[in-house]
Amino acid sequence: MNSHLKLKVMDVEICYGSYKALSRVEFEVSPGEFIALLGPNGAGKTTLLKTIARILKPRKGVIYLNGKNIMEMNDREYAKITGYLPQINDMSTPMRVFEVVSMGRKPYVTWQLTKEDINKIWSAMKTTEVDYLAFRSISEVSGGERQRVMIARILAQEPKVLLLDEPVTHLDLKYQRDILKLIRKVTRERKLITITSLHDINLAFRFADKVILMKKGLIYAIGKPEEVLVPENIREVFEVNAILANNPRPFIVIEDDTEGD
Amino acid sequence: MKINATPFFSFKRILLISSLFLAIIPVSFLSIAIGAYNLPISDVVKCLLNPHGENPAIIAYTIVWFYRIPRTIGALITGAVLAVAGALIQGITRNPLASPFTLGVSSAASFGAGLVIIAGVKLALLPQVFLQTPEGYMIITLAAFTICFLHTLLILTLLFIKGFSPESIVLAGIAMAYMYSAGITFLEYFAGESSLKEYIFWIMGDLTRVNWGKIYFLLATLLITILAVYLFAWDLNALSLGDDVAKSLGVDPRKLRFKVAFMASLTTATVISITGPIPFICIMAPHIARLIIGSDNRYLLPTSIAIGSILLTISDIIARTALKPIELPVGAVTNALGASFFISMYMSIKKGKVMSI
Amino acid sequence: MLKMKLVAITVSMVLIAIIAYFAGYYTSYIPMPVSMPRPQQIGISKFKVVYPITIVDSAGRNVTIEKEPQRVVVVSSTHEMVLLALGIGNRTVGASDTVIQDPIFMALLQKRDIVNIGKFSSPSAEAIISANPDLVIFYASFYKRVYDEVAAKLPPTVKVVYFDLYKISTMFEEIYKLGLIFNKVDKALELISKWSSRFTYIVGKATEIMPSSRVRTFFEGYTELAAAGPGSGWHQILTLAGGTNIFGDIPQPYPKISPESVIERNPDVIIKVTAAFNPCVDNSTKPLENLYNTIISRPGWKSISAVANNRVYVYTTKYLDGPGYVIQLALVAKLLYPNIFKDINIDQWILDWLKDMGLAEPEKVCKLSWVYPSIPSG
Repeated sequence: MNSHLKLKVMDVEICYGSYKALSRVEFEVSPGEFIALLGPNGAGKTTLLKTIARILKPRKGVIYLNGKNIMEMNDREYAKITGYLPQINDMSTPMRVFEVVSMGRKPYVTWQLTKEDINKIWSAMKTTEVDYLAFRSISEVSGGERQRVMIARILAQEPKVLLLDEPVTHLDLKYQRDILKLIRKVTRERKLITITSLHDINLAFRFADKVILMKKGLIYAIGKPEEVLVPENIREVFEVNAILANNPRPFIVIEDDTEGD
Repeated sequence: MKINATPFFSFKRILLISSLFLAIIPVSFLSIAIGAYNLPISDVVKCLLNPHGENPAIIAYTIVWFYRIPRTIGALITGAVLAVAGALIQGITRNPLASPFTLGVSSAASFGAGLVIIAGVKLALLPQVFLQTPEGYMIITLAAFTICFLHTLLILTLLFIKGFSPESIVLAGIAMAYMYSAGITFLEYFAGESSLKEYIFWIMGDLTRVNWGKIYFLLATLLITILAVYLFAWDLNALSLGDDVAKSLGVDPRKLRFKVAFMASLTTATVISITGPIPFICIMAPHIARLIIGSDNRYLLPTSIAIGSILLTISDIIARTALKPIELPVGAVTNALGASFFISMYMSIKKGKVMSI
Repeated sequence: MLKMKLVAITVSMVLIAIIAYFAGYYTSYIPMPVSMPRPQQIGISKFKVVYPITIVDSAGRNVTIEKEPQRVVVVSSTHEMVLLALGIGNRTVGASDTVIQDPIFMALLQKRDIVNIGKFSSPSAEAIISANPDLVIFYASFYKRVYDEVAAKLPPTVKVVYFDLYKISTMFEEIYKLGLIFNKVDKALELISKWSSRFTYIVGKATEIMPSSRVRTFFEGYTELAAAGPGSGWHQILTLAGGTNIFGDIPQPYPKISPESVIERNPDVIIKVTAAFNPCVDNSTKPLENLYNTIISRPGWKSISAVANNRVYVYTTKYLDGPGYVIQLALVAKLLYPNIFKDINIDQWILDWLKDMGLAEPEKVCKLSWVYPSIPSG
């Protein structure tokens, strides 16, 4: 199996009952690319991530990884390739941090964790700076720490494709920056594909190589951040007025409405 | 934390588990030594060391080998099977208070037994005196197991169609339990006096029903249970991170829940068809195990085996010595233990934390 | 304890005899129509009851019976048997399910339209009313609250009496009172004298047995390994018959005991009762045999004195209630002391009782034995 994968999403459609959550979604991602998924709530970001993670099955369309249809891969194989981090992480019974991260090795393990597995778990925890929490219970750590633990889990899984659903939305500014920086670094170094949904447009500006802007289940625009995140698109999709500023880097300022205050 | 901490961490746990398993030995010995017939310990030891005793007519041998040992083995195995089944169901429903009984297995078994004990006699299909013979007893066991089996198939098929969410599992179990309750009430109302008494004794759960012939079934069930531990521990850990995450780790939640529920229900059905439904071990043992060793199923499930065995064997010892020579049904003791256990758990709830390690 | 019981029983026997004598004396002095000489007819009552009469039932209630009851509802087969023995079974219009489902009773009652009033523990007031009775007989010593509620729903024209008829200490007195109620005093006295004399005979002989030679017995009740403890009817039978209950020290009527403790206490005789076998209806004694085999093959029981000496018996209590209780007593006495009670013929007594109830040629109907294995001849 090639170590670098190309992702190709072709004409994907997902329906919940009669409601079309995604339609005619199509794009390609090359290895080493950090993709930001943007759009208002209900645009279909989570749905798209879940589809690529094979949690949802498309009614129409195919997704290819290196030319192979992902639906034809077996569960274990796919789990070694794709890591998914959902928006909400509720754990029924609290385990210790080390155990949570070690779950990332599940696709590789039959019963016993090998020395290699353990090394990878520790390095993942070090990468997200949660190694000092290893033997604490996950219910006792802060929200930010918990998120970093989850990211460590994904890293321990050593996937080729990272699918992250709003991984930094509830974190402190420092962690927002540090984690995205880390993910981008890892993506570039290991030539992974990362697709992250974000709520903050400016973070996308800062860290993403490409942006996919979604509205109502359709891809509204796709391309480099400065190409996609122009005021016209923002107005269309988010229904607010915005100005592009540049100090020292490009960022978006949301304007007030003329009415009201 | 250094890397070397990891082996130490799991070493500590392995040590804990081993000592728990070792504790089974003195508990079993106690169970063999204590009973209504007072046997001096030296005699007990002699009997144990000499399985094909010189003279089978000597009463100590008979008591040890035909009353105490089958009963003890029965308690150990039943406790183990029930404990693991409880832990498995708790894993797939993400509810630390669930058990196979939540799926309705005990109601089904009781109903099956009731059909034979009450309806079979009432409709003159079986002479009542037959039920007190060993063959009659086997029929009760078979009926209970058959109803359990059919019930398991039915409920799992229904759930599979509906997607097997944790909530649907609990709901389905409750619905079926009410259905059986209706059937059982109906039977109880029309039962003759002595049928009713027999029936009530049966549903209290009783380990004296285990004899050497039945131990083979129990052993088979134990082996299946151990197999289940090996097969499902990692998958259940993945499941506890959430259905979506589990899927991304390569686990199909629906299929897993089906397989686990099926195995847990069947192993439980087998043991309770023989002994009658014994309450609370399914919930208490995994709980205690979780408090000792944490929620990682790789350790939790084996620990549940040890704790379940010990707990049930001790309950059985209490059941037969509390009111010597009256034999209490072991279910009465586990009920009492369960009640006090949960009361003490309730008392120790700290604000905000319910079940932390 | 036992002595006091015997004294109480003997005293009540004497009292009953006195009352009976005086009642007869009195009623025979009630003026009769002068012109009619009293013909010597068999079957006509010598003692004629004049209504209304007031009796005190076993629940302590004063009940006034205005006229001779013709339509009776009973709540158990024990009550039904006494009515049959008094010759008024044909007045039964309603009975519990155990009576209705018994083919022998139905044959004796000539299979008339008898209303099924439900289980004895929860009879249906509506069913009772639909049978249009003038008298209802309930148990006095249990389910009284249930019966009270049912009685409250019955119209005032229906008289309700509470009699146990299964307790030896009150049974004969109750039979006498029923005799008064139904104007069957002579039949009642006949019944009483026959069975109470037999009772006294057995008990009297039993008290002569030296404590050291009393037989230690394990008495197993209907449910598996349920011993008969003090407070249960069988403990009483056992004690009256002169036996010692090996579980007499346990203060509960039906404790479930461990088979090990029977081995430990090593009884000389084991008796097991069942209610499920009907010698007049079933076609073989296999059920009793099966129970017997189950008992003797319990592990380790071979070493029990009773099993080793072939003194294990299983008997059915079918029809042995009411005055039939005396037969149970005799049976147990004979099983325990075959020599001392050599002269009692249990089979004969059973046939006698069945004849009392009105069964013609009972030896042809009830061909099977009540006991397995057969009673030792002594």
